[in-house]
Amino acid sequence: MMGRVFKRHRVLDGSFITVMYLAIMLTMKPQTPAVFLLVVVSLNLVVLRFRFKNLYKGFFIDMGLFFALSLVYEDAHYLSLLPFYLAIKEGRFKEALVLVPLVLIARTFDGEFLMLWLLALLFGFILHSWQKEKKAHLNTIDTQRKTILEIQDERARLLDSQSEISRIASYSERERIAKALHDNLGHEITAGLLSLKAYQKLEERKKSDPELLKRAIHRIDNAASELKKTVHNTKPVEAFGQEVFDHEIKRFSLPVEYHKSGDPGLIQAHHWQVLNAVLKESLTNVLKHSDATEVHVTLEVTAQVIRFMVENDRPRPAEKTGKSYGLTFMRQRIEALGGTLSFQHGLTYKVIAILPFEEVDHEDSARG
Amino acid sequence: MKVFFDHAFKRTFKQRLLITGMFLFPLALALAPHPQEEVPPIGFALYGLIILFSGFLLTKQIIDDRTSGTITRIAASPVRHVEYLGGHILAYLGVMAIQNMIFVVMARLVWSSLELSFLLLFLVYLVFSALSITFSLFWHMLFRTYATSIALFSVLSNMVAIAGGLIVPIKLMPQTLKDVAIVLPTYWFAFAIQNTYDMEYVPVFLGLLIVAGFAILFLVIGSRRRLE
Repeated sequence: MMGRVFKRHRVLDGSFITVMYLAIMLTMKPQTPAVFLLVVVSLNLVVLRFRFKNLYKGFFIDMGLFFALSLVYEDAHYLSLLPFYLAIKEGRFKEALVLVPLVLIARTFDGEFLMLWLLALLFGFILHSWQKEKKAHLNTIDTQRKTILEIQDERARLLDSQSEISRIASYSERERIAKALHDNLGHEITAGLLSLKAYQKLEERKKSDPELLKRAIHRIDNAASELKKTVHNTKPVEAFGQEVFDHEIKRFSLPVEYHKSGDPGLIQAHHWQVLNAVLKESLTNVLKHSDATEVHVTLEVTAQVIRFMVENDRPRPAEKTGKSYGLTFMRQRIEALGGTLSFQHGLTYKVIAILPFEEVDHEDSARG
Repeated sequence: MKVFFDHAFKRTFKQRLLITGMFLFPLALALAPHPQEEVPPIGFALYGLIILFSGFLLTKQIIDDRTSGTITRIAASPVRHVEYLGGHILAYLGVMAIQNMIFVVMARLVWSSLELSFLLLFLVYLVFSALSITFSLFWHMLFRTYATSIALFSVLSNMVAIAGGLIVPIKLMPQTLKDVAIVLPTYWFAFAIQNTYDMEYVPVFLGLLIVAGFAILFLVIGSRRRLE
């Protein structure tokens, strides 16, 4: 659209210059070589300005040249109309205004010249305003494009860091659990075990010490409490991952049939985050864009991928539902994880998300 | 610039067929008859057509550079476009100066009885050669392939030759046609030839200045760098 407008601007500019030359040539009758030479010189000056945009200065010189010539050959000042028009078009009004006293000095007004002069002024001013507007539009387009690119860039970086953060969080949690097991539970079990072994030796020598057995039982008892405490501390305070997923399905206002297969334990935290977001968005869309009576949610976990599907009956026609920006954003997040999100609109409406497990995840899960 | 000049010069002389044609046609054209006393021999103005085609065929190298991608490599090197263009134009002008020399010397030998300045005639041809080269540059800029360029150029140049006084002498042209033909550079070339023949020197120089003006005009438009 903008391209077409800009082309029209150039066509109008070129057409006006051609018309001006035709008018000037009809007036000047350039059959004589000297007059035609003047026209060619003027044409050269105009083309030079078009070709080299930084030749702005010197409109005054062009106009002055033709006025000086008009002292010898009266019609030469017609050619000053072109630099005058170009000066107006480029917004160099001061230089163009120099023409006014020159006109008054050089020649008494005649209707023909005045008409051409006004025409050049009007047309030059219109094209100048148009050009100014064009620049402003281009500037807006550029700024908006830059902002969009920056947002996309930022989003890509956020999505990249999301899985990284999840991985780091899981490593630090493992470390915390390992530390708790080693510092508390490990010491108590070792002490209990040593006490039991000592008791066994004494028993073999028929010198049993009930106090030692009591101490061993006490130590193992302590270890069991520490184990309970550690497990309690490991569990997140807020609902997370699968819990949120199950909760969303349970609290949904319509009856939901939930099928799951495979081991959900393989699903990583950042996968749950995306799955929960897709589930929430899909269930909201079921309420907003359908007259559904039942909803099916399927979660299949295989060694390579997670396949997740939300299906509802009685969807409304596609044209009425419009585009869901939430799901579009979801698609970007899923694609950033190497997966796909697709929609099937028929007798039922299906949202299907496929998420692959990364190579690193396999290794991690294999290691335990 | 000298590198490009040498390269273009050598490259032109490697095209044996083109060079032979360029140097043989003027020899034949100089022998063309002189039917009417008030206009110069037919070959004098008609030779302008040869100049137009020679310029066009020589500048083919520039369009070849564009299609083969050489121009992109040159653009990537630390050489200014003006050096590339200037070197080529000067080399072609050099080749065409030799061609003009051959024609003028032959015409001098054949038409030794005519009282006119053959040196001035050479100058007219040289300026027109510059126009032919710059016009070809401009023309090539409009088209992507050489085939389209030459097909349309053949039609255009023949029309310009007829309307612009290369085939029919301008003295014999009707006034209406003359009034329109003044916009063609070939008209002013034919005008300069006619005045050289008439030994009217001021109009010759005015005509030459107009042709030179057109040459600069086409150079300014045609020198825009186009990479594909």
